[in-house]
Amino acid sequence: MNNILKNCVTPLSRVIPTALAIALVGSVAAAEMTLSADPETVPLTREGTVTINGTGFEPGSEIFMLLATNDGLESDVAEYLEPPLTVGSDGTVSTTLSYGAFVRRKLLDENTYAVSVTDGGYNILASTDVNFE
Amino acid sequence: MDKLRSIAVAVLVTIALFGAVSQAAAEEYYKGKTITIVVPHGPGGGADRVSRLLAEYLPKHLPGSPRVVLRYMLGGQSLVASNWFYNSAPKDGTVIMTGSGVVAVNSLVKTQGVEYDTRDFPVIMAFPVGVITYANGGKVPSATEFFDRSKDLIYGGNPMPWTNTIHFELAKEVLGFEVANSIHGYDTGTGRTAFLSGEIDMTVEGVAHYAGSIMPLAEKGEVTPLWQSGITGESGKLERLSMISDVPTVREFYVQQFGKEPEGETEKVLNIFEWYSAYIRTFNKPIYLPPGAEDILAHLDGGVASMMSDPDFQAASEKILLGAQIYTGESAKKVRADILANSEEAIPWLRNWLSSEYGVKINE
Repeated sequence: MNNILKNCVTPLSRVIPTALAIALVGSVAAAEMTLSADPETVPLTREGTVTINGTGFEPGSEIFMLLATNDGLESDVAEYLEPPLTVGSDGTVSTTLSYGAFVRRKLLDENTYAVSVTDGGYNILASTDVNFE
Repeated sequence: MDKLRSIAVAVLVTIALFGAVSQAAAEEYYKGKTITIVVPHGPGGGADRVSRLLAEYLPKHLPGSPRVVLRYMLGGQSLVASNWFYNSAPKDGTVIMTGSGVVAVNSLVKTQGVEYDTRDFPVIMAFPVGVITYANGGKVPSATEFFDRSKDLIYGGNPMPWTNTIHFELAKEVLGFEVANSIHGYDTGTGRTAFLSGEIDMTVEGVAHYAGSIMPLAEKGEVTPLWQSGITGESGKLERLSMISDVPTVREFYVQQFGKEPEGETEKVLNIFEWYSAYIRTFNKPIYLPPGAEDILAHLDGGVASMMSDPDFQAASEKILLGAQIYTGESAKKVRADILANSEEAIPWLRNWLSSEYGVKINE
């Protein structure tokens, strides 16, 4: 191996701790974003609502909320949130989802469905399950 | 000679490689991407049903298998979604929109607040949706008794300028009947509930909804089907949908009742009605790209063609279409251009009629 190449190669002993540190920071950052439903179990009614709370999001960031339905699809439910979904200065989110329109059209049934918060590209940042019964 | 052969081989290899790379690039355009389908109305309606059909099947056939998310944008009788799609949707193929009858009507007559023109939206495909008018079988035992009974009937349907109510009120103009009351305040779901509870006596509904919950009642005589919109057939004229082939079009209903073709002003209004039906029914549930995104069609056409040949998709779409033909690609573009080429008389008439008779606010 010539000298140039030698200088470019980082010894494994340095790579592994760095990779571990990056992975650890990444997982800590990901773990910081949490989402929960209150209550976790809700009635399957046309007037139904569930409050979704979250922590650890980047203040000021653009986020969206997706609801999974019984056809396996995901819907952006911004129109059914009150107040609109925003991240507070402390990184928290809190909003109430009115899911009645989905019940009325039989897109939700007695089952567990995921509610997720995503970034602007609909990449999921955090999820929680809501039990409908 | 050897040098020439080497050059020729090199050129061929380059062409082959370039072709393969281009093909791969086309195939992978959607890899790792998310397609957002903008739905201008709420869950469960016609636009949502078509959007969900597409969301289920298109990713299976589109190279790169993109993820699909449905995005409801409500408000302003579809204006919020349509104006946003026209003005702000990214043109890279990651956002498409399912249109609706009222999206098309708003564009045709330039309802107040409209900032878009659907003619500027490249069409990926168009799902034609017919409508059917029906009455309470207890009050109208047969279609032939309709004219004797209509004055006692209450019509209920969507607010103007929704297409079902336009269909009903235009039919009223052509057929010359009167009703006791015409309530323009329901949506599809509440209108059907009102009909089934006896709150209203007649309504207009998309054929898919009709087939699902009303047709069984018609078979028992509890509901009397009156007339259907028809769908533009291969002849270019409105034809009965095969699933409800025993229900006449408005022109046929007129002839059945009066024993002759309409004449004079009635014929003029019927011609406008048929032009309107041809356009609104054919482009009732179109799938659009935003203006300026024509180039993206090349990335979608292969996947759409593959989806169209999928027997599962065909079976699922048939439940919505009831025998109507889906238009895709160039055929959708041509049908739209052909119908709109004959709109000189109809659009000004509709603008004036909606404004003067129903108070629909129209852009100057």
